[in-house]
Amino acid sequence: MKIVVDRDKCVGSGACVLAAPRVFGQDEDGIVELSSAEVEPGGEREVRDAIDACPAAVIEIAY
Amino acid sequence: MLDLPVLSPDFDDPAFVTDPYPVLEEIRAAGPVVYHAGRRCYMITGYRDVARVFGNARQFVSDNEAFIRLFGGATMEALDNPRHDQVRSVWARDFQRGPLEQQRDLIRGVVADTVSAFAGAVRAGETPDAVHGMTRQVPTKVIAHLLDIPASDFRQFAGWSDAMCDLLRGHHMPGPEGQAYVDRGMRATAELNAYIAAEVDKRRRSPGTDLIGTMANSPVAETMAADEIVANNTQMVFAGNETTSKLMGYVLIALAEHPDQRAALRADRSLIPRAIEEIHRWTSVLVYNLKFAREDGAPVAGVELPKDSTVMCFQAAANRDPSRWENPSVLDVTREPRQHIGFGFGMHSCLGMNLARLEIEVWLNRMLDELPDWTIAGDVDWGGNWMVRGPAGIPLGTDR
Repeated sequence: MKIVVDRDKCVGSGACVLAAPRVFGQDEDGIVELSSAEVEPGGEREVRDAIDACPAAVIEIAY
Repeated sequence: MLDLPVLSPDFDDPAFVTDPYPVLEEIRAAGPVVYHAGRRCYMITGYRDVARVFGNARQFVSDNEAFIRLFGGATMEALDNPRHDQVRSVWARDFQRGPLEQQRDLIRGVVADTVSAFAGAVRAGETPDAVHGMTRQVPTKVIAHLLDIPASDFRQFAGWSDAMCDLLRGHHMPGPEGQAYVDRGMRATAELNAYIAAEVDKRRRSPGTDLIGTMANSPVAETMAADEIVANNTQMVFAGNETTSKLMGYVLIALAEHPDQRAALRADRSLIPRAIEEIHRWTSVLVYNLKFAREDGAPVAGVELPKDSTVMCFQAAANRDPSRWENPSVLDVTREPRQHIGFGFGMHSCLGMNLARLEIEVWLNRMLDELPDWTIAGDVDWGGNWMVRGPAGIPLGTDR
């Protein structure tokens, strides 16, 4: 499972970082940054939480 | 003293609230950071610069005391982290896109009733005010349902909500008329606070899944003062109703001025969500927000500001930043969407943004069915509030 983020539509809410801190971070402008584009085994649930939590719908899973 | 360009436009001039964009473009042309000598604040207009200040909660803070004065307790808008995230998490799920879909039928029902009655009057040849007759009603009715306000209390609830909408209008209005709006708004806020406090007690005795019940019975509530719980609920009524109504008003005006784009939406309804984003970008409800530097050296557009500096962050100008959008002053509902800053940015970005989008999408669809050729049948009343800007009165007619 691979994660794709659309940084251009990010509103910097930080919701993804709360939900999945091992996967998502924020750059100095508060825009989403991937710490890792691959999800570790067992980390899938966190990423789905982050997808649900994002107010701007910028996170997607690519298979 | 910083060596910056100085401009001191008179924002209280009625011409500004009627059309703020010429003045905002003058500020942009003067430089990325412009000092307002009269208001002693730093004005910024660039998309990236505004987003950076909003996103930098470590070095910039809102006027938290003002929120507390207005609502009688600290709302999440007045909190820093980690506390902010704890309180925001209470309702976070209710405002996610997925769970909100469950409210679509409720919203459809509210919209159908409200728009049918209004459109009927317009088709009969009247030119009623779309703000009081329609755009304020939809969000107020939806939030009343989400708070599980009994139908018998709705009229009173809507009256408080309307008086609170007029409070900010009064703030921007000199003289006794403005003061009367402020007094009435403050009284309405106090009465709504008392009403919500009683509802919180009721939910504790018989829990519900509405927003008041969700907060009253959440584990976080055990760490919240009673006035904090009440203030968050009151703020939601205040923050949701006026802003959504004003964005609907902008949609009415923008599409009446661009009938070709309205026809394109009517023919292809899948364009509606991006059209709403584009109209919001083109005419931002929040013209500006104030932020205050917490410490010396707070960075704004390449300048370091001293502690306690006031920064006037013009979201309306940032949403027309030519370095982000081509021909930014042109409305184009088919434009490829890029994030705009109308709902804010960072940890305090609007909690209700997806509810607002859903309400407006359902409402616009219905308008295109019922009154596809609406016209602006007279002068729009811009109301005088140049911070949370938007029409306070729109006489609506139809071509057919």
